[in-house]
Amino acid sequence: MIPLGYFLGFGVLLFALGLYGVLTQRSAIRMVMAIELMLNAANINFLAFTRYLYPDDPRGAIWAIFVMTVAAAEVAVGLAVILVLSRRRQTIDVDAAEEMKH
Amino acid sequence: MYLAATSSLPLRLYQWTEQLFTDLGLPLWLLAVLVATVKAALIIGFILINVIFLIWLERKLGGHIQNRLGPVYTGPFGLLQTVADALKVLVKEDIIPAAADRWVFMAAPLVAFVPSVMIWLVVPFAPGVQARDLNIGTLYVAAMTGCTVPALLMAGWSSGNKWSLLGAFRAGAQLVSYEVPLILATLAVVMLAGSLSLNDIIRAQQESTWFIFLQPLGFVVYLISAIAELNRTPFDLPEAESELVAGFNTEYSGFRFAIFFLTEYANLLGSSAIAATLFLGGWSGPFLPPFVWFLLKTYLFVFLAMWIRFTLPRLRVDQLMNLSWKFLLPVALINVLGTGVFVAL
Amino acid sequence: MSTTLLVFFALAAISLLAAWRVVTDPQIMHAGLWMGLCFVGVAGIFLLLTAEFLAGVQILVYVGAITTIILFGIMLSDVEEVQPQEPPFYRFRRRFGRWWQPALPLLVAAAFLVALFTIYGQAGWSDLQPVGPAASTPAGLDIPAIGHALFGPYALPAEAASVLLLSALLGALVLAMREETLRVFRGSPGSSRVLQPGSGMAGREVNAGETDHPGQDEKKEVGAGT
Repeated sequence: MIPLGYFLGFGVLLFALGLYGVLTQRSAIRMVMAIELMLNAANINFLAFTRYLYPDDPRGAIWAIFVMTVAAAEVAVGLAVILVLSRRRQTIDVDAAEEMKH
Repeated sequence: MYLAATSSLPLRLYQWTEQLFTDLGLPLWLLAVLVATVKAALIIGFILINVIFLIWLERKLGGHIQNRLGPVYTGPFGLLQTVADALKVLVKEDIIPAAADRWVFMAAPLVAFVPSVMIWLVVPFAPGVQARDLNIGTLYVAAMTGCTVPALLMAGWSSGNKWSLLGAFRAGAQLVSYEVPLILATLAVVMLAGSLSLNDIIRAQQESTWFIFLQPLGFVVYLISAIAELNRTPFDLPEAESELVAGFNTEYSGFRFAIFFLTEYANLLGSSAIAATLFLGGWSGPFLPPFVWFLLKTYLFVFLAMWIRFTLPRLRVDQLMNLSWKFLLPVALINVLGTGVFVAL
Repeated sequence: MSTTLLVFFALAAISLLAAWRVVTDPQIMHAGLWMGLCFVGVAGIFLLLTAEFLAGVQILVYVGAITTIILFGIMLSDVEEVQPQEPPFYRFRRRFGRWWQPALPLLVAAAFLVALFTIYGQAGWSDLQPVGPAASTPAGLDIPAIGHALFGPYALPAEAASVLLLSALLGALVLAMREETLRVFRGSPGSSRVLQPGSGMAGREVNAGETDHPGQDEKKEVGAGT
């Protein structure tokens, strides 16, 4: 069988790639994509810990389901915002929408 | 090995092969790979033969509904017409447009084709004859159906053609909209059977009655949404010839076009088989052998879909969305609610 | 090496390669497609963890819905790839040169990587084997158990999640609606254009005079009365 560490290692690598993406990208859609990668990595951890440490506890799976729900809601609203941004500004550069900062 | 478990000839064949493998000292995972390959080959063969027949049937039925003869020249009753057409398409040049995104363009037909075959993994042909009895059967089918949308978007976007892109847009919007009532209608059946596995759903129908009688509303919702998912005629806006040339597959020719065509009919057959399993009791039935019942029920749905295709005119885009979100979705939700009350009582 | 391990490495390699392409591919549409591939690979990993239900949901939600929405978003926003006018860390860049820009996020990600691997190693999780039979689904990942928990003790969070989804649906709808449509729905004057209700993503605008839809008559009068 596969030791737990392999799954955790895979999750960490995926999360790190997502983190790198969020930090380097300036396009809003790409940031959403990188965040989705990070959420996926979190789900892998939930399920791996359920499988290896708490095999009788359904809470890990329920967390994973909630993560997916929130991800779906986030993408729907996020892309609507991006769509409005692109219509008004002709760009989806996140740095272009900064007037609320000042 | 589920296939081998109940019917005797495959079982003996499997035991003989297993013996051979142990005698020759070959690893057992090689046997598993071999069995999987044989199953896949059988399923793909089944799909190919049926699709060849389906295309002929569609043309013949369409012909007779419109008071003409349909194909008559090639073979008896024109039965070999599809074979001739397939040969013609396969020897044509495989053109990739200059404006196309090469890799995405080449991958799109395959990405569309693979899920349409993978649906058959869980379809029960007869008692015990099933490639794999997954405990998430219906969810798996829904997931595989959902995988078609990115493939169509890939095809439409990579063609570098505005008609293709518009067709892909329409296909994406339509498929996503109709997936919701489709899954809700399936959910009501799952609630009645108390299981996601297709085998358990058939067993539950043997114990009570066919779910079409318990779920008339769910059945209508399922039928309409399934036809919309298949992009067939009242809902064929993604490839409406009079508006969009041929939609997302405008730029495809030869071999790749053949794969799209094959996918379309494989999906029709797959959806019909799933509908027969969910609402008409699958392979169960008196007198005739189970496999014949399965084929009969599947072809009943195929016939229904073709009949509708040659009877109804195409919808407009706004009617299409209204039908899904303002009619089918509420009806499906009420159906789920009613089923919940029924099950709780 | 066992077969499962081989399958794991294949899936992990595909997913990580795809994830790498998501954050580096210069063509944003390709990045979206790579993301879909990455989700499929993660679903395979879920299967190896014997979480069949979640693997199915992963394909249905992530590949079927989220990838589709993102591809739609890319195509609808119809904007060229973002070209930074003023690059980030430009002061650093002036002083230290070009290598700073990719190096800093890389450093953060690498630090994160090292930190988590250290924690996992300290906890003794790296070589842990599962309890119970290897191939069967444990009780915590079984579909009936998940269902009972979700609609039993966790019914309130589940309801909250459904309210969240509903509000996200409506919010996205209102946000993405065009100005003309909103004006029609508010019933305020100033717009002679009427959007066919429910034309959805196509967002097709039709001149009020051209519609022969009986339901449009009232709205036409609203437009004409001003």
